Amino acid sequence: MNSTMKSLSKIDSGNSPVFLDTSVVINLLAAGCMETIQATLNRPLIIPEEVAGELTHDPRDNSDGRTLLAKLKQQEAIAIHQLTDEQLAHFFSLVSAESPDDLGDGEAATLACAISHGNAAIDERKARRIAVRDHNNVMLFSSLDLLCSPHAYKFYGVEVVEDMVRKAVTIGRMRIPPEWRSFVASLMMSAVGSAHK
Amino acid sequence: MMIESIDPQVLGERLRIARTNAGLKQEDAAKAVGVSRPTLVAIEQGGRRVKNDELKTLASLYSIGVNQILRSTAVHIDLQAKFRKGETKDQSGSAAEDAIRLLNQLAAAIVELEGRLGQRQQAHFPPEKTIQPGPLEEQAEDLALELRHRLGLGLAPIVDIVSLVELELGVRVFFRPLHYSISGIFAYDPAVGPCMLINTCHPKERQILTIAHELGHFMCTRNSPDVVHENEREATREERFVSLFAVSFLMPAAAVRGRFRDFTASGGSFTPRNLLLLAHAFGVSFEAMTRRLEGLKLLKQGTFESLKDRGFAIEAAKRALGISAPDVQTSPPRITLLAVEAYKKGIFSEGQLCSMLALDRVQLREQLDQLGGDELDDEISIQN
Repeated sequence: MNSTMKSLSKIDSGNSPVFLDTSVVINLLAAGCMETIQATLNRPLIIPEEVAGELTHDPRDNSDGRTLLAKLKQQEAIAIHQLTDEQLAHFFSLVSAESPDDLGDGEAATLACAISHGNAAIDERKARRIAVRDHNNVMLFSSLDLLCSPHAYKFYGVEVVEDMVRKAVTIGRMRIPPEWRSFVASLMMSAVGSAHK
Repeated sequence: MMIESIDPQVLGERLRIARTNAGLKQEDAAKAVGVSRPTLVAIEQGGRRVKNDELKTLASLYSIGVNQILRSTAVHIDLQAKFRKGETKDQSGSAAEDAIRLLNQLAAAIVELEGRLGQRQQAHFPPEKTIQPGPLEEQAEDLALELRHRLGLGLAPIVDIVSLVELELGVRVFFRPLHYSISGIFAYDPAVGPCMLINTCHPKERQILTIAHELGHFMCTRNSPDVVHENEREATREERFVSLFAVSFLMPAAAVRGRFRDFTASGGSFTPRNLLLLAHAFGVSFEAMTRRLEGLKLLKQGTFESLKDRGFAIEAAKRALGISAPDVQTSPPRITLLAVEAYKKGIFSEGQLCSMLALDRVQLREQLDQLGGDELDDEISIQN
């Protein structure tokens, strides 16, 4: 891992929980690395119930999403969370906001949890816009912050990390934030180059 | 907007529609939230404001997002009521109910998208026609020609029936994979206009015929919703008429006779090759064209069965001739274009669009990716 990779990932070495939005979970499932990410970060990865309800299918093979989440929960790779009263108040505020400042249920639940607990992983850009504008106490991560964390490079190495990113892009159709585009583009091109050799 | 600022009657009506769309009775909903049925009735009628936790429970029970219920721009329609009231109510198995629910969802979504983008569908509905007593074949042919004339089609084969129906007639057309037993559904609602849902699991020629069939319902039985079942027998006079209309609209008699004569002009015989090419020219199946020619008495009755009995391999013959399936439409579905534009403008999030369009996250992302990059949305200066 080089210093460029390290500077792009914002994830720190803390152990506070990270609440995951559907937009991120889909990518981690596509990369087949939920357990890997949890193990390397060594911090709770929490999925609000509302997000769990949106994960209808495993993006890799279209099998039942609920079964997959139940398995990951059993393996303690994730925890599924029911909103507290305080979080519900934030949730209702977010889902009933005047359009276009309202959010879907999963996005609202994730942000509601993070407002009280601090960390959320959200790729969805409207949700990120609202989080940045109205809740700047929330530490926002993206899928790439989790996939390309210093911990992941340290434990699994460049090849495994890059493979996870490729799967998230090709299978999960991961959205790429502007600051990551050059990195992901060269990673995908290097895969094409290797394939042609 | 906070939930308390929403008129309880408005909110109650939205909950009622969501419940009926979910196919649930008031007793089921009341039990789920731990209230009596009269209390649930009071909630739906606005006499008692729903509590936050009740709203959340009901939303989950009805498989609809809380945001979908509360969002001020969301459209709440109940197409299923038309199916329950109409003659089709006894046809409803769960496959049909699921399809009706999906049509309802998509119809509400497109109206909301249009409203948010300021791109309301222009409605140019032709007048509804009454089926007269007497022979149906002539009436169906006449109506088909009248519509073709109105649309400026002449007798030419129809290249893109979806764009024609959407843009020229203001009918909303949706495509989704449905249970194989369902070919399509049609419904008309004043808030939405006419809309149809077509099964993408069926061969493309079948989809085109189903669209023409539902178009026939729009022309003649607009206020009676329809579910087209695969291999359905035409149980009523109206169904028979609509089926004849579909055939005449896609394969006008004069055009088919003309092409048939072209093939047989110099005393030549009419072969399965000619039949395949003729079917392909009109965007219909081999069977549909064969039966059309039988109906026009250009081929003997029973020709299709005879070819089938001989073991004529239609698909192999098509491949040998290099005939591929027709395009059902030549441009992306309108609802997809609207959804992509709304997403790019930040009006709706991925989660909201998935909920509105009944897509999973990857399906939605595929559609967002397919419709190009940001430069397609750069504004072009208009000459004033």
